[in-house]
Amino acid sequence: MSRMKWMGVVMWLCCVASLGAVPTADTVPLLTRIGSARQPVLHFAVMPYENPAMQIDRYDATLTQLSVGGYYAHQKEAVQLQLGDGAAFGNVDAQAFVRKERFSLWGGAGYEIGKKLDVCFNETSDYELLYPYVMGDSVGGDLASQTYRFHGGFAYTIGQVLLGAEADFRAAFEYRQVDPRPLNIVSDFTMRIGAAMNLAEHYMMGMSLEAGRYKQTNELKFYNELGVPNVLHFTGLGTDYYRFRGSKYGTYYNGYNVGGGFQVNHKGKSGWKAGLTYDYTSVIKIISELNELPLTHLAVHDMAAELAYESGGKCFWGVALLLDNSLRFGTENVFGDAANNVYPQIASAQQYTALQPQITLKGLYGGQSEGSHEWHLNPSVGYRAHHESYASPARSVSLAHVFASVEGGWFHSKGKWALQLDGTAQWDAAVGVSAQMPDVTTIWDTPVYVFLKEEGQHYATLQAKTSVWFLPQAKLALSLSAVYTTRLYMSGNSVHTINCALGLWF
Amino acid sequence: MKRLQMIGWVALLLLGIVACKKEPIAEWKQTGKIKVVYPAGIDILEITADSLYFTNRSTGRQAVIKFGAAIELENGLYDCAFRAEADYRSDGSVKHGVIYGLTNSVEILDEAPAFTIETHLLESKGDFLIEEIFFTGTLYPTGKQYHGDSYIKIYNPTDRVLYADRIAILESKFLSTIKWDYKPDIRQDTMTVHAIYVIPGSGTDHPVQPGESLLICDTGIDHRKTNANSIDLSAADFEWYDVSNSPSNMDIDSETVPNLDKWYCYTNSFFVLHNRGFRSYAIARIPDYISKESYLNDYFYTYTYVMHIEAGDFPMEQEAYKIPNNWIVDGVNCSVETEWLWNVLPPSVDAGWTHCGTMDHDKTRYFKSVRRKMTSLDENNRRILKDTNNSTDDFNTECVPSVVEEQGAATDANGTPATQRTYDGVQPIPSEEK
Repeated sequence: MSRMKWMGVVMWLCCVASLGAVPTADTVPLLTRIGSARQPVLHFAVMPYENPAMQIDRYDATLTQLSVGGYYAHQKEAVQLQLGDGAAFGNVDAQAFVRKERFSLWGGAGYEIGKKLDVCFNETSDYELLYPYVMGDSVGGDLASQTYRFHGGFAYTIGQVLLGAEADFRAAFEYRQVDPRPLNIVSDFTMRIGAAMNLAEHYMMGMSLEAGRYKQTNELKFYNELGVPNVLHFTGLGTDYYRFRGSKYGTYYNGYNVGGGFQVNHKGKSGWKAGLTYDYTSVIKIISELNELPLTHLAVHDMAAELAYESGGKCFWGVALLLDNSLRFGTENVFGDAANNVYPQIASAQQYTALQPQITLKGLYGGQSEGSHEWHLNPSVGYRAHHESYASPARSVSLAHVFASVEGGWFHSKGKWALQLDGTAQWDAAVGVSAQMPDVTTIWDTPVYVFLKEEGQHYATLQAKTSVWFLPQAKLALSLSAVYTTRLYMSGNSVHTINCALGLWF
Repeated sequence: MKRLQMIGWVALLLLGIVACKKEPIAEWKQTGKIKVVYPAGIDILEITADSLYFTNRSTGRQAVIKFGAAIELENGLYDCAFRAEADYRSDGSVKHGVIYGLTNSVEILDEAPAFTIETHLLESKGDFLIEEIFFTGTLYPTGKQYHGDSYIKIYNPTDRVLYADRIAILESKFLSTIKWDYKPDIRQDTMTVHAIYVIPGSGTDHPVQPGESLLICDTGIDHRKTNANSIDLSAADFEWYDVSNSPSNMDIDSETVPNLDKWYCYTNSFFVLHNRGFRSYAIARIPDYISKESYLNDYFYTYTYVMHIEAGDFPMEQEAYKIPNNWIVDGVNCSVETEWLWNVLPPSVDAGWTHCGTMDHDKTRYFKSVRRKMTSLDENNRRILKDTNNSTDDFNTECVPSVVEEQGAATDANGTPATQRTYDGVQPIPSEEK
């Protein structure tokens, strides 16, 4: 990382940390503030908080956190080859929320460095955003990765109206120093504005709008003098753009997103919450070395709706219904004869479609005493489907799961110490698996079959989490947290992830 | 009564003769807006088994549609071939053969496709065929690329002695992987070349017996002395030798192999076949009345094109020599799957293309050649090689080169020796015939 980038990150971390140093009238003990910020009810139905104006009273008190940590993930067998079979990352992170009488400020900065392990059939970053239109080969390998994240926002009260704005920026670069050698540079910026007003005595209603730009340069190089593997521009479910196979290594992605939402939130500790959001993302993939040839267009429509009722207090409970859907349409452009190195576009065809609906019904029940002791249970049930199809030649994959989970947590603080224990168990039962694939398979179909094999079965997910806080001073806390997650597939495959972080709170 | 009977029989006979004598059908045929023009110079009497063969350039998928049937294809850029069995009259006699035509880069969109396919008769010219091209070369045991051991084999497929005198070995100037809008477009009538090497002789100096081949190589030496993985070409029939102007890139003049007569070559050092296989190769029989000087004087031309690159449009002017297609006795387009843009030779010379490797810089291509398929052996045990003017169909790709097989030489950089001999890179030669 260059010195300038380091300086930028450090300066932003300092800025974020200094937010928390703004003098406040906060006299609440630090451990109480920590306990309050992690109250389950605050994280139960969160869609209203996508409106920055509604963040104004999300947390009761000012709190700043600095952390240094890392995580390691290992999959016995890769579930999604394009994402690799593991990861090892270290990170530093700063988060702050400042609560004032008429306004709130928040901000964050983070830096992450590490490796994605054994990434195959994909040389493009942000696979989950850009699939199926990624560049790939059958070689792959570990991918070094660095990511910087910055975000900041505010919410302000003017009479009966709340106004808010926030911005997120992410920059990443990923590379490999052996053939094939991708060098991917990502910049992703989103700006969000929102307004809210009192709907009745106990409710606020708001609207938010967001817009963003996305760009990734995705270039591949080979240094082997004698030969290179075939590089493909994938178009979904094992297909690729046949005409541009081979050595078209210089590509970039140019995208934008726009969206908006409608939110209702309650004031005080009890009441209804509702949210409705829609986000449209458009990304064009361009082969730069063919005179800026616009190969494909990806359109993603994300929709979500949430309705929840919460009751706070010493005995708190809630129930929420969440509907979520993502529609993904991929269009391939067709080009005429390439005389003079100019590829005239003669047609386009929508070939790829993906649909991912999910419905979740969840509940919350728990109790607390004076902010020093809290417990809760958070059960949920739901249905999730995944359907992908390619028009011609016809291919499709469909998966469906019903799932049930229960999460339980316990928090206790005493003197200079606080302890949190959480555990989650989830069972995903496959209720439908089907595929239409060609009789003759090629190596490029491998990720589809691996995904079907692993995801098209029952699996259990278990998570254990613990955090310990210690206050050497009244206004300073140190924390140590660890999270272990495992997913066990019926086939015998397993995924293990461990996160650890050392934190500083004030 | 008898007279009437006689008149009746005669009338019936005349009617039968008239009915049996086929009249030529139209010179073209159309389905929708697709027009197929039959070969000029012959009378087509009957067409059977006629079909259109569509290849989608974007997806690589192929579709065969009976001529006249509805064409239902997804929008895209296609290459469209026409192939049919034909009864035709030529030189006063009725013959049976195959007519074939190809039109590249046809746009098929929502409206009915409209284009014309010019066809030609697939028939042997009764002259030499390119039997094998070994353009990829070999590797040193260290894995480095070796130059000088490439070769071309030409074959006498007839049942008479052919003389190789004035047979020219040609390499195209244009690459199958780069396509500009060249003006004038002379591709249908001529081949634009940048290397012309001619077998010397007065006309009968170099006889080739039926079923025999000529081995024409880059450097006619025993290459095994410098590269253990290479082959011995010291017994080749001819080599192309260049007097190099580059002291660091000198050619070797073999003492055992006679040189081809160099008419023209683009390079100031030494000529090598394009070892990634992007150029086309042909052999031409130079007419007796054409001397080297008159050729160099009369067949030089200038062409232009506009080079469109990111930096802008640049008008370009280039010079080259051309060879009339009617001198060409055989031609082979070469390319690789991932880079192919067009066939340098027109369909009347070669309607397809062949390859070693599938992509640019394919490291698997070394030690491999393209070899013409053998259809059968004749009664004299001579090979009958496939010749349909379509190298996609006529050639076996990525074969162990025949000289490598004969010498049991290396088939890879590790020095793994060839253990089997074949007629055409695929069909093994029974052990008693070797």
